Amino acid sequence: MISNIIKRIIKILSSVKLALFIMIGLTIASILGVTKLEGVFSSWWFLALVIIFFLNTLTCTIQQVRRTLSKVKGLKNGNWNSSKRINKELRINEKEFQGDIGEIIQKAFQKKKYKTKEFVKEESILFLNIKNKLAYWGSVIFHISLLIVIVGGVLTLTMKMWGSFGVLEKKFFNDRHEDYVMTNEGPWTDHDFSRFKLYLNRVILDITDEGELHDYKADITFFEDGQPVKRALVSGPSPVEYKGLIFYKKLFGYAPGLILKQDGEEKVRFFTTIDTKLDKSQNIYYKQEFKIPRSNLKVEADFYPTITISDGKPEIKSHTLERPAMYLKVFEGDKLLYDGVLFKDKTVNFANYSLHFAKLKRWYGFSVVRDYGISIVFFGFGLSVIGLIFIYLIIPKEIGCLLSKEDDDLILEFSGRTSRFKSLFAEEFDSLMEEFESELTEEEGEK
Amino acid sequence: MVKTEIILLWITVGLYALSTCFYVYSIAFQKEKYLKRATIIAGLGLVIHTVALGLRWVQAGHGPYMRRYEVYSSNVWIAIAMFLIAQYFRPSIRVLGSILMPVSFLLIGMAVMASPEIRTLPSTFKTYWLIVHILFAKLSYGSALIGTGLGVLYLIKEKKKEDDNLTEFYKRMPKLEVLDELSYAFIGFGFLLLGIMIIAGSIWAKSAWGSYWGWDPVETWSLISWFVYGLYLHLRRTYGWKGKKAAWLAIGALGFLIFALFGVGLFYDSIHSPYINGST
Repeated sequence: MISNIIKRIIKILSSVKLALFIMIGLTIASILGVTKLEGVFSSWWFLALVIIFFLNTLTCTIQQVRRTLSKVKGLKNGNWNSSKRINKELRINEKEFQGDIGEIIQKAFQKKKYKTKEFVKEESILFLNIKNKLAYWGSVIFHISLLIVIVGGVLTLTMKMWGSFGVLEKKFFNDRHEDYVMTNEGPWTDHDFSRFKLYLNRVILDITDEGELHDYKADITFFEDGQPVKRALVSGPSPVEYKGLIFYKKLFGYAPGLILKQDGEEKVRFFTTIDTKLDKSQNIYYKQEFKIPRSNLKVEADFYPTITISDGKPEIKSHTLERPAMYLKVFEGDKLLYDGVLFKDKTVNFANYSLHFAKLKRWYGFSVVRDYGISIVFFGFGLSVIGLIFIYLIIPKEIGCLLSKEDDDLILEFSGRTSRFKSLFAEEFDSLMEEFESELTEEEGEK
Repeated sequence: MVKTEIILLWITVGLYALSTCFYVYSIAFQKEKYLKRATIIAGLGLVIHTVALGLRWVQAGHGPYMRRYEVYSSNVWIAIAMFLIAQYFRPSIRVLGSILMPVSFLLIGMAVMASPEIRTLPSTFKTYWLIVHILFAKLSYGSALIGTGLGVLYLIKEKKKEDDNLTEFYKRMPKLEVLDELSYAFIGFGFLLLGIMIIAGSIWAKSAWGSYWGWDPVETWSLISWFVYGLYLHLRRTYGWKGKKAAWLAIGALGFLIFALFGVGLFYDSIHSPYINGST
């Protein structure tokens, strides 16, 4: 009873119909996910669809392995049925023909990259010529690769840690879970951090001759137990890996060092990080709202590496630090106290305050990823390419040649078979037979 | 140099237009000798197109894959090159140009109408995986276009046969079943190339942003196209779909691929949009 139920479940799971339904389901779900509904790709039903897809692929793969093994084994043992195949019969007069027919067959097929095996039957000899034998496994390899990709994908989904952090030049960042801003954390994410330190030596800007910002790189050093252990450069195309974590370029920005005085007396010295943003045309600009510590002052600041005033409006002239400045709006409550430009090394005065732009540092924002699924997924991807090459580019072909005798005649009964592109194979078979026939005729003529 | 490149591209457009006229005339009036002329003109156009793209490459310092002007132009180049190679090995499919050349002419027309302004390559684009990703995207598009074109030829020839109107012109085309299998072979090959394109893109995405899959609209629509082609191949292999049904399915599947490669950027905000469809 139970075994019947199991058999039935396996039958349903391994059916091609189910595979088609799942593929249609995944297609529709993907269209919905990308078009209308949010959260489709993290929904329980999408996950269920993926699990059924996995089980379906798994059972199909097991069946394919069994079928392929039996086929390969059968061919190895010379099991050949010439019915339902493309056929051609050649007759040669044995008396007029004195060459070694076996050798001729082998040579002719060798020329076409077939491998020939000879099987002696009761009243005949079978020359079994096979090309691209490995490609029988194409479908199996491809389906196994799909399973591997799904496993890797599930690992990513459940164990991936994806966070970010920012650090000022000449400052340290501690590798502690609580210090990362988490973007994505799977339910089984590894929380055991290595607790190294990352030191940002400097931010290097790659600026074109036209003053456009092309790339921003971070020169970093990893420290352990107070000792530097690795120095590296993080840039757009080259992230850096350390202890299973991969550090990617995310953003960079500026951090002006300001001094606030009230009634001529210094109140506070501080660095404030200015956020880096992208406009619709992907151009960078720098903007931040912040409160000045130990005061009631609120500031809206725009930063310009090199400022220019066009139609009364400040603009970024270049990303090189030739004339750094901030455009500030300083409020005390709702009251606007200052609205204007503050250049580096200059001071502005408003009400009973003065604000001095004393220093300028850069900060760098990193994306950090730890994903155990990546290598598995990529291995699966590689395997899938091999599988697909075997399926669509390297087609296995079989041509059997049964040699028998009837009176004075040698009868060569050719039969060909392939699982894909049968008409194309038929063309190849015909041209091969023509070549073979003319070769035999030549041989007969020579004798 | 910019001027030379643009002049060469316009000459290419002219030659492709002429080739299109010859191909269409040839199939419409069943004049076989025009097929050869059309193919020679297409080949000549391809040579000039190659020089134009080469000049562009040197000038821009990167391959022709930024913005509509470069993307459409290089897609056309690959499709025509693939077709010319295929017809060299199998001259009987030369008539396929009657379907492929009008599409190519339309695309290159859209390319020359877009802004030829050169854009600098963002730093994250400086990886070999990007080249693999883009190359295979173009190859898969070319392969699917040829496969579908062969499917269309199948439908035309089949209709002529049904109407008992199979003239010498059509008889000299490959047999129906051969056309069907050639279409299958090109689509199967396209499926492989599309798979490699998706894989290379995900490797690049991983090295640039830390995530190999982000459900970006272009990414997802490419996967959808891959699923649709997977469905086509499954239906052929396991349910024995062929001939008319398979040809119509191939036409439908190409719709998905065209949307994934060219249409998504028009409807969705995607990281690919500024590079594929951006015209300025």
